[in-house]
Amino acid sequence: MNAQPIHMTWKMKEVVLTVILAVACGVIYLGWSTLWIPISALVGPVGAGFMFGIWIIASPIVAYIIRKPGAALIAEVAAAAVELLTGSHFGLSALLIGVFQGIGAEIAFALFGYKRYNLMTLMLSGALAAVGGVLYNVIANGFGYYTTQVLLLTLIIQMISGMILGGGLAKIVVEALCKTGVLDQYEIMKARRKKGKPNGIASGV
Amino acid sequence: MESLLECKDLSVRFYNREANVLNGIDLSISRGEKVLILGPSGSGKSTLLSVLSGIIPEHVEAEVEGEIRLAPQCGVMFQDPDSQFCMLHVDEEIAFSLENRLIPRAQMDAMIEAVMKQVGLDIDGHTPIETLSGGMKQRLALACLLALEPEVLFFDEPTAQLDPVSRKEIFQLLHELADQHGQTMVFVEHTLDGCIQWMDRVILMNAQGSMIAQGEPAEMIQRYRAEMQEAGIWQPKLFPYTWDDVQDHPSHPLAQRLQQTLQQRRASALDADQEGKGGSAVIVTEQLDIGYRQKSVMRDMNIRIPSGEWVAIVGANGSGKSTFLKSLIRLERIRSGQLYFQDILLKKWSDRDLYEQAGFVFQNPELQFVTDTVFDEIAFGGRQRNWSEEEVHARTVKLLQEFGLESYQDQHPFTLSLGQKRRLSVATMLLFDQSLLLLDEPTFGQDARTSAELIKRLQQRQAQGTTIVMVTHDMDLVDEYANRVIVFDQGKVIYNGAPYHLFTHPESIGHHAIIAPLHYQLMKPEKERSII
Amino acid sequence: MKSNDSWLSTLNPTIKLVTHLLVMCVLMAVTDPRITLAIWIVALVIGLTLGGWRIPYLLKRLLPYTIFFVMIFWMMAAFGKGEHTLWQWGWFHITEESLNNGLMIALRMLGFVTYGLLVTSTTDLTAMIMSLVHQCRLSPKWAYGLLAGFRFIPLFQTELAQMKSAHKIRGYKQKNSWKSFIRYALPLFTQGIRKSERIAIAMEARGFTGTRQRTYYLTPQLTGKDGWYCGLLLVVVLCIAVVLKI
Repeated sequence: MNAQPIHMTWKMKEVVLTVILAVACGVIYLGWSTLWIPISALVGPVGAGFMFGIWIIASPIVAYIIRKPGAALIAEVAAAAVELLTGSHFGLSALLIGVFQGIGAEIAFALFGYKRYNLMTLMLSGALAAVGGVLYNVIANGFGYYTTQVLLLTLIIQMISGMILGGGLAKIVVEALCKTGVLDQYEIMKARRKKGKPNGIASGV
Repeated sequence: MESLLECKDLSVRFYNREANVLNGIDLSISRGEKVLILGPSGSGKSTLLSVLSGIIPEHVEAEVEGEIRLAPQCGVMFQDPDSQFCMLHVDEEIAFSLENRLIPRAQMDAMIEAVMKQVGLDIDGHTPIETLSGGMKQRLALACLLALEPEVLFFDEPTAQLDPVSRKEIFQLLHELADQHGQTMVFVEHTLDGCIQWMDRVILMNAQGSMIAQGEPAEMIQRYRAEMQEAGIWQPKLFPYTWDDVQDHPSHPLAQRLQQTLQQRRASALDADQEGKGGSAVIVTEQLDIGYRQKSVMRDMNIRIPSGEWVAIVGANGSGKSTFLKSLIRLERIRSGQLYFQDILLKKWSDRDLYEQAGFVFQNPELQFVTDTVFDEIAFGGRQRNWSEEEVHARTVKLLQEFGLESYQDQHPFTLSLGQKRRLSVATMLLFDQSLLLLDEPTFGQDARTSAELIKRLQQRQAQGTTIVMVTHDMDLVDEYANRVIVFDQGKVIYNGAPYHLFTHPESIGHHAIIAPLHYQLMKPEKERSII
Repeated sequence: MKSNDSWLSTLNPTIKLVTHLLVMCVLMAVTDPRITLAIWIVALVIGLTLGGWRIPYLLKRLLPYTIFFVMIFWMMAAFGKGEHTLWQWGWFHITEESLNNGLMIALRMLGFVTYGLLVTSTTDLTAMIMSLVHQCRLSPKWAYGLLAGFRFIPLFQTELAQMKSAHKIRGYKQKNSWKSFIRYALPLFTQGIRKSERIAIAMEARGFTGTRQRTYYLTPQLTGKDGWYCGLLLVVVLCIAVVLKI
């Protein structure tokens, strides 16, 4: 059983875990997003970009734990759906942003054939999620009307924020979760056990 | 009787552990049998249940050895009422069971109605599940299992998260079900009152995951009393005796014990009455109205809590007990009226001073933790106030010892057991020797031993002068420790005084869901007898 | 997300969602604030006639967004590009073009919110997901998984609020920094993970396989009026866009 490199089929507990973690992220975003627009009004899109990474953290967290194709995209969309369901914010547009950011984050893991899950790919997914987000804004909110410098600067800052607050923070959070033992039955810990002691798992077969 | 499921020489090991959870279990369960599995935490009793119900290794990975024969169709009820549902409404949730069985849509409505009736869920089918109480949720969970038409029903501590009244109701319901349909049932439970009297067999496990013994409930209880106590199982108050026996024979050992307890309570109640109402008050409220969001839940409260008392707040779910507790330290807004804390208006206290004087222990301790180790967690407040590191260390070590947490001081708070988490959360609230400690159902969901450990520490603190105010459903706890009990009902305080008087005259507060401890039940026939 | 008793609530959820997403796409393509305003008004009219909204409800739901409206307007206006400078101070720079653009973006945001509200205020979450199963071939595994997870939104919200009070007692300062994110996330995540595992086990123990081989209690249907609504709304919106452009 453990010879397969990537498990394509999702187990039920992985499905529910993905949704619940995304929902938890979505609930935390709600707290953040009430602060978001007032800050943006004051410091402009460039300054507000510093906190961007928090918004896309669901993707790297879930992908890092589950390690399956689609995890990053689904997590971000489900997290965005929380805003839709609580009816408190931008509803359908939040869902669309989620799709764009999720696709961005997903690409990072796809590039490495869903085989590499480390700080580098997590940060890359944060950065690409930022690209997805900016792309949506260009299409929907007419970022094109900003000066090119503002646009570029926003993109760069959001990418950096996505790398640090998205990818980096996701790694810290998941490592902390690993220590509490709740992830023992999931892919991330299985991969570690496989690495640690090669006989530990094979004995079950 | 034919054997419905069995296992031979069953051993189970989880992949991330070194040792086996279960060791060489031989077990056979017949059709119609009711079996209760007991054991300390970590004895693998839940694992055994999972294997017998087919969850392990089908849905949870583990290394399983031995011969197993399962029942073709079974249902499992879990302890957490919130994490066994996947739909939003009652009818959809029951339908989920039917959908899985490929029942045609046309037959569903009648079947949903039938199982709801069977479990006594007398509500509209389209009620949102989140509005149900814990007891109702467990009824719903049972309805969903009955919709599976199972041959065997498994119960993994089904009442661990319920209050005593709901627990009694659930056990009654299960008993009826067992009687009427001859349903085969396998239980794992910590609380024996309400279920052990109708079990056919008790299985006792030890901490190493082996079976110590099995047999008739009455015999097992008498022979293995010590082991069960060690395992933290709540001792049955009556079983193996019956109430008629105890009531009719004053020389019965249990009757004598109950009489003795009753006399002790009476004596201490008299003492307390004579002491009078002297002393200063920690909390005084005047025409206090409190509420949650827009709704007012308790009105016109005039309460005085003398310092040094142990006060219990009781009442039905949603009667405003927790809101009151939170209002006492400004976690909920006061709607109108006055609240004095140590003779000073509550709103005049600064956060810093207030929380150096009063601590609050939440039902879910995890929400309170703010650091990454047990030591830091206790030391946190001192470091915030720039105490010298020696003082921080000295005080923290003292609290660690007091609460039996020294050997865990470098662990992450989240890795502790529930009992340890609760103790830690109390310890963090005592760094400043707070004079008032508020606790929201501190023994909820815990076994007898860990509860006792916590209560012992609270008692020590009370002896040193700390005032304790706790919300609880456990009347034995109220009877044994509280100096004062306050009963909330429909927005009003309907009783405020010594527990003894409440329990001896329960009729004074009308028909209420308060089950007085067993020894008070002796009073009734006593009176009746004196009349005759 | 709950259904009401309006006509709109009788439509197929998927069709409703797709139609409104298409209107939002039109909104994205439009650059004239007058057209955006007109399309937004269409949403208000639908809500008040077919959506079962009453004026007080509408005001209550949309009022918070007027604040956002002003702020987005300001943000777009003060950081935009353009030749005709009207006002400049510090890093703020307002031009005629940016002012116009700000108005359009802010109106577009209102349009998005209102069309979104048309869906969320008239659709039951379970019906929405079930419709996705039947009309979009969403796998039951994900459908029921999503429902199981979404149940936890209110629970997580109360826990977050409780955590804030708990931290207040401890004297833990909440700054909106990455560190406080971990503080809030960790308890929510550990609980969430434990619960998710239990839910998945409970679902499978009840015979859930995640395959399409099952019967359904709820089967949202497609009917003629879904087509009419979708077609008419898109025609009206496109007409507005064309007519006002001339």
